[in-house]
Amino acid sequence: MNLLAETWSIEFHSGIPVYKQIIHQVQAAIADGRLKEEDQLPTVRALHQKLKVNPNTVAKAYRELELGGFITTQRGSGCFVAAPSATPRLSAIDKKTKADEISARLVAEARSHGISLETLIKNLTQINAHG
Amino acid sequence: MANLTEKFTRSWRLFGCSFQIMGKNKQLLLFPALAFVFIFGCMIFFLLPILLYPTGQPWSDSHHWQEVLNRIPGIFVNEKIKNAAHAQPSHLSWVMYLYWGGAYLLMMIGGTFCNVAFYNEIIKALAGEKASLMGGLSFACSRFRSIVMWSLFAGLVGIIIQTLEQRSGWIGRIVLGLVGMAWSVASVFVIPVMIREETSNPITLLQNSAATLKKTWGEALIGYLGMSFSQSVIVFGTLPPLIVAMFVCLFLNSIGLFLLIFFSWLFVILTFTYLMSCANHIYRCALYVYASEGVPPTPFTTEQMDTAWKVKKA
Repeated sequence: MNLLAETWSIEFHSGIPVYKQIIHQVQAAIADGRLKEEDQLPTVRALHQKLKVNPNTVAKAYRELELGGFITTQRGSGCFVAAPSATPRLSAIDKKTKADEISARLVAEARSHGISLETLIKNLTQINAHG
Repeated sequence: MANLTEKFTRSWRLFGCSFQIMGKNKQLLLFPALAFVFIFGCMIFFLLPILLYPTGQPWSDSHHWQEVLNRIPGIFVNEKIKNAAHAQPSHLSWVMYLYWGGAYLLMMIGGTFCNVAFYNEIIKALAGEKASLMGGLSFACSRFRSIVMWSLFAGLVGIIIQTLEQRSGWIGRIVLGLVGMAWSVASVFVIPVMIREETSNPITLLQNSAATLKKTWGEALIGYLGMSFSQSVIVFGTLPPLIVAMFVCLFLNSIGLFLLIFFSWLFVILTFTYLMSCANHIYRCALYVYASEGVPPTPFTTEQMDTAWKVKKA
């Protein structure tokens, strides 16, 4: 299984449908470079077993990602990250929504590990400075 | 009337999907039987020593049974027996409470254990995997701590509601009846939540069950009523022909045929009720998957789920 998928997790009671959470995690991984062009995504079966969700849910997330131009499906081989040109650019409103979503997730995860907001901001600044 | 027929047809289609899952995974049918055997076995195990307790009277004597009843405080004892002149206050009272408490807890744990095994295999079957009796039981063993904690909590809540209900007036009984109903509704998804999440905290389980239910709140109860209605219509629908057939048998003075028809009817109804109960559990799991993940499991469709259960869009 794709090592990256090992870090993916699902929150069943967040109010966000699970298939949307999978979409967000793939989009985030593509955006921050953890998933690069032509990288293979975990199979539907592997991800269903890892996340303990129904295969239909994973399949729907992949379908939506394909429709959005984030991934391509090759029959018999699996799903792959699409070329950057094929990935649609976000509008200003979508960017704001996405930024809110990422920030909320990051802060919540940091809090659950007892990491302060100051440490988080300091680390983000350092990561950004190192490119 | 048209609306009622539509509701009936819709519920029936949903049952059809559950039957498809059952058809592909016949071992699922074993779980409710296993739960029944366990609980019935427990009841016999705990009742026998009391029923056969030597009272100095023969078992055929009614005094033996009166004394036996006096030894079961709070369960079978009615005021008439309690106040009878010959009734002895039971010096074993607290022992009996412990005895029945233990029996109740064991039955709760056994029932929850079988349900966890059953629901885990249903969720597997809904994911296209093969359900198996051993797989379910071994999974339930891995969740034993959660099962015990939940059984203790649910058992305690059940006892508190029942005790308060017995001591209340009619208004109190109505209120507590509603509380009991709210408790049943809120805990409807506790077992699937227990399977998905590795927590043994019963409060968290209840909260997560209620949170999942919130998404299906609107028509969830109506949907359940619709399914129960479909089942009742079929069972009651068989009553008129049965009564006519039995009258004919009596008219023909054929007791053998009378008994044959009655027991055949009983067998069919019990089998039907059993299958419907299994289908109901499968449907509940499918609803849980839909409510928690936003996508219905095969062979259920979004349209079927939405029309029957109206899931709030996130």
